[in-house]
Amino acid sequence: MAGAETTTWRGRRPRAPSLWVLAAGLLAVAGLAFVGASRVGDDIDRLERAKSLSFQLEARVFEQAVLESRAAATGVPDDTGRQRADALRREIASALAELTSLLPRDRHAAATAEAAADWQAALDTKLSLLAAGDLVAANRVDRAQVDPSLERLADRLRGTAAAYDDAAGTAQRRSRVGLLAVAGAAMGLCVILLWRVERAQARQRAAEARAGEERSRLVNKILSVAERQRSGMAAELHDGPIQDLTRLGILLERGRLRLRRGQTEDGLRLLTDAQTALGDEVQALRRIMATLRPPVLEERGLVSALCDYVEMVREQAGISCTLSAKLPERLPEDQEIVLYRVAQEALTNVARHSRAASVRVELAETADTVMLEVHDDGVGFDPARELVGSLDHFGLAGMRERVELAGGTWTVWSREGSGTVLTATLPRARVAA
Amino acid sequence: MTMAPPGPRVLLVDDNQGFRTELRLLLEDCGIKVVAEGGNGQEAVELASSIDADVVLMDLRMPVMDGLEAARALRDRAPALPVIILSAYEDPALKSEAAAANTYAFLVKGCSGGLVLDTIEQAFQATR
Repeated sequence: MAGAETTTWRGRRPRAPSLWVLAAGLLAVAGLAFVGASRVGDDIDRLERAKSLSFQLEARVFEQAVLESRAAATGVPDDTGRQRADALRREIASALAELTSLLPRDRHAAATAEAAADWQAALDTKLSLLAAGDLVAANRVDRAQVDPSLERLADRLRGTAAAYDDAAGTAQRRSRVGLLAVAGAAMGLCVILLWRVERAQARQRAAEARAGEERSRLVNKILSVAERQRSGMAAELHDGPIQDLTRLGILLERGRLRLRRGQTEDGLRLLTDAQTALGDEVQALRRIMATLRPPVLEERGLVSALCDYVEMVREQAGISCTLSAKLPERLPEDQEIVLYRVAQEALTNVARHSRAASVRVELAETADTVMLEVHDDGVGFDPARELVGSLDHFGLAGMRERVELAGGTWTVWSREGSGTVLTATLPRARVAA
Repeated sequence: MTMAPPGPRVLLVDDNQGFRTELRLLLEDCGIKVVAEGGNGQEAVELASSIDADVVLMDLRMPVMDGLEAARALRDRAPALPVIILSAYEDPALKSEAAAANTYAFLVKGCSGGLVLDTIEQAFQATR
């Protein structure tokens, strides 16, 4: 058999990955791509500069070669030619230094630096021979070392320029890929954002639709319950007062008949019976009226009304029924009615079904809530089965709906053989002063 | 000495025991014999085939089988047996249904005892 059960169900929706986690991931990807693209951009600038320097150097080297050839042809260079040659050498040396600093540490750079060093060494040798006045040796060095090293340097520079031209192209392509990655990441983020927004809106629409359906269901339920109550009341009036009053009418008819026949004693006895029956009927109608809306609830409030009802249960059902109520002041009328009806329904169930020896009604409030509890030591039942299998059985569903409509919560704990505890909690609201 | 003609023999059907007893006492005070009592429509149909009654005086709203269904069954099984409905409901639709079930009269509870007695007498005479 089922163990302790309550009707408080709380489901947990599986969490989707956080939007912020997704956004952070995409931003990280975009950031890396941007940094990568920036670095590639720097590489491109550097390589472009190296390429340009290589071309310029090649031109200077060629010019230097021409000057050197002319000097060799004339034997002694003129002053202008010497000055130009010196300027070119300085320019070439400076450009080579810059190129070396720009070049990545790869085989092209090493080969270029090596060719430049060879040329520089040959040139220094030639210049020192010229300075010593050994023109023959200088010319020999010029032809044997300077010219070939200058040509190798020029070739090397052309090769370097070509290699870095290719490298710059590759870097540009990489840069474009990086930018595309950034753009793709941004677009992906936008798509995810739109998707998340759309999904949130769809969820909200679904929640609103569900809330609307729930409201509609509750309204229908209220109407249905009201209709059922009216029908029950009609049946109660039919089976009770109407039958009894009709019987009373017949009793009076019989009394009248006896009196008309001169059977005074019999007639008076029947009239006395009719008077007693009439008194009983007034009591019965008063009970029905109290069930519909006990005047004490309106006049003296919930605690007094519950006192009366508990007393009635004690007398009529023969159950030990007690009330513990701690309410310093009255509640709003609608809350008093809800709690009274819940207590009424719960005690009716106890009297009809629980076979309890005792029942305890507790009414208390906290700073935020007012709570009604009904404990009995009866046979108990399986709340899940009663609520799910037959929503109207014992009026449990009706009680729950009434409490939830008032913004409160309703739970029932029960176990077969261990009694029942029913709790209704409403948010506390004071009567306006 | 001439013997008084026999009065109507009534089958009384109502699920309210107290009302039924009171009505039987009134009828008997007025010389009408209640030959049997039933608590629902099914008992009415069974009793009508087993006892000799001249008139059925029957409530409408009863457990097991209601008065209208019983009246329709009696119409089929004992068409000459007049059925008087005595109901707490004064509903035109119910009256129409009762008329369609070929009931003799539709009385509303709370009417005078004299009206009940007269209607029983008329129904009895109509069958003779």
